Amino acid sequence: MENSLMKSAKTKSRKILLIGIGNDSRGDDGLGWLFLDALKDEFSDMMDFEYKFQLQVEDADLLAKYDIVIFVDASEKQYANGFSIEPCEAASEYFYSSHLQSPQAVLYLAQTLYNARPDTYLIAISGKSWELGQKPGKQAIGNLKKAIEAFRHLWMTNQFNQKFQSLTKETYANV
Amino acid sequence: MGKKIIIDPVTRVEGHGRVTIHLDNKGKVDETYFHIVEFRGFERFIQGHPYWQVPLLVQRLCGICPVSHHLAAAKAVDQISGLDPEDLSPSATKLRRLLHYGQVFQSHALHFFYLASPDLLFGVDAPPEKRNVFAVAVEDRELAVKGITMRKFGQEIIRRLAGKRIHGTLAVPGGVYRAMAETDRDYFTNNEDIPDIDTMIEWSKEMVEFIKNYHEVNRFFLDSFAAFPSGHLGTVGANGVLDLYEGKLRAVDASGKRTLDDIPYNDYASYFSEATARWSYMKFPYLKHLGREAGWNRVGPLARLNICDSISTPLAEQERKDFFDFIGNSISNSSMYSHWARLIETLHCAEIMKELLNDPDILKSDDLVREGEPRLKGIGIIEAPRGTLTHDYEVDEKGKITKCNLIVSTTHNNDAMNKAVRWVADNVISDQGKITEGMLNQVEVAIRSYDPCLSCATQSMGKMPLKAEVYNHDGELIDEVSKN
Repeated sequence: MENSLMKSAKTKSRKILLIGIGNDSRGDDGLGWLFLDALKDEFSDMMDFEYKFQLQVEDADLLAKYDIVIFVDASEKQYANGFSIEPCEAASEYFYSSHLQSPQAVLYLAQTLYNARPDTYLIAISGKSWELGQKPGKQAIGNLKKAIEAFRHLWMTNQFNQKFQSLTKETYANV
Repeated sequence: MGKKIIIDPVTRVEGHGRVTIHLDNKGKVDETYFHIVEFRGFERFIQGHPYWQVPLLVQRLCGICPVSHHLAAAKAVDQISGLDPEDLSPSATKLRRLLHYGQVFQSHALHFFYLASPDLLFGVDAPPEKRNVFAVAVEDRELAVKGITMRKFGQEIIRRLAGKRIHGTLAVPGGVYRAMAETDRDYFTNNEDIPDIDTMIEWSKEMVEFIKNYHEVNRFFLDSFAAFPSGHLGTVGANGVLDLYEGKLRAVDASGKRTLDDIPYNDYASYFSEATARWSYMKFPYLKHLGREAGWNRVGPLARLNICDSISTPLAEQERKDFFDFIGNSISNSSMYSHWARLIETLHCAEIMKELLNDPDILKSDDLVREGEPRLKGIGIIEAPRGTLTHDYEVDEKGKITKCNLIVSTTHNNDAMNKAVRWVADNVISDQGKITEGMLNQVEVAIRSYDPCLSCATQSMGKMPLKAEVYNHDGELIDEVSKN
């Protein structure tokens, strides 16, 4: 496993950022952070890790420094396989509060302000319970494990560097 | 047929509030309310915790100005540890000051660039899709990049002193737990990884020039919009100089006459009381000797400029003089002048940060924490980005909190924001027949000039729909205006 991962990293010298979004004090909302926790030791030589409660306008500056950005967040949407991995497209969709922006919106700002166009992906992991003070539910943890395995598979097959070209959109949720 | 207009939530402010405007049968404004409908209640649940935890716990009041709460609480906790402000080591005081001025710098940058600039660039009645930082990015890329970088600079000051941009820790009872690393200091001065502190000063000057020109062109609107008489409150340092970290409390009335004459911060309770209203969780502080109706004060950048005698840094002091030369008076009661005052403070913060970054005391790691004879009470007052912030604690013999009173900056501005809403209702909405989205935005523009932090003011979180509704006298929905 480790040799394959390292080989994948060495074939490209692109700067990669993994951003976990969420709050581990709020049940399944912590899935994004747990995803990073699970991979940090294994992948720390190959990419940078950022833990975020929310995305903010100034995160556009952060995105602009990377070639590949992968957002990981819990989702209220119930995916058939428990998670989804999709390319993330820029969108001008400002939320009325200054400190809560979508990945698409921050990507839009990175493009507009810094002319940065990192390959960007969004890993959404299905969750159900968001109560303060709770731990993630059993089903959510199961979805998290599936998403982690899918990520490893995509990494080892070099899919992030190939912009998922060998995968159709429908297959992202079922890798 | 009477109507009730609801703006819920008020946008581009920190936290969630709601405005209702009641119109009578002829379309004239009857009543207006700026409701704060959230509640968190830190004052209560902080009780029972050991005093030394307080500077950490109270930061959770806010994600924008946690440093202000951290430092106000730390100053109070210093006293519980037996130390007055002058007892702390020079290094500890300077490191706390640097943290504070870094925070005010980033908070003011956030407010001006992210929240206020769309109104100024595109007009208060511009289409909603234009009134956000995305449109600013498209319209004026350089302005947006500078705004983001200035905010980042302030946030990095916080991160490199307190460990995290939000909810980090520097202050401990009696001082600070660490000095600044030389490499961290160099980060802000060597112009390599981020534009340096001299660039921040230059950009801050540019922003002041921008707002000065804006006032030249739009003087009539800015002079009159949401202008009304009020008191002004803040803290001043020695000789009446603007000081955001430490000082005595001073207030003036609408004509500039002193109503509170440099009283020690720990005597605040002798002068202030707080009223409540059934329609808001936010209280209404006022000066006891002037009474509920006449004793309320604005706080924040405009109030601070109105009460101080001078600014210690040369560039900001020149801008202060230009400000009062422009208005031709010694005091401003126009809400929209808050933006100009805020940018003068931004420049002042940049100048102070430069002074402190060049001070070798911030690198000294000896004598960072001192100890004294424990006391049962402590009061910390600081000028937060939005105004005077008071933390007042009492402890039992074991050091557990028995009483907590917080008077948050936005709370002082409660009356002022309600007056501002009323002004717009009377002058923009009353007798107009059809209520447009642009009219409703002007209500928000007036509130926004105060940069309210509604989560701080009641300490809460919430999730609300983004629309305005018009009801008739019978409570029937007859019109709806979406904010998106």
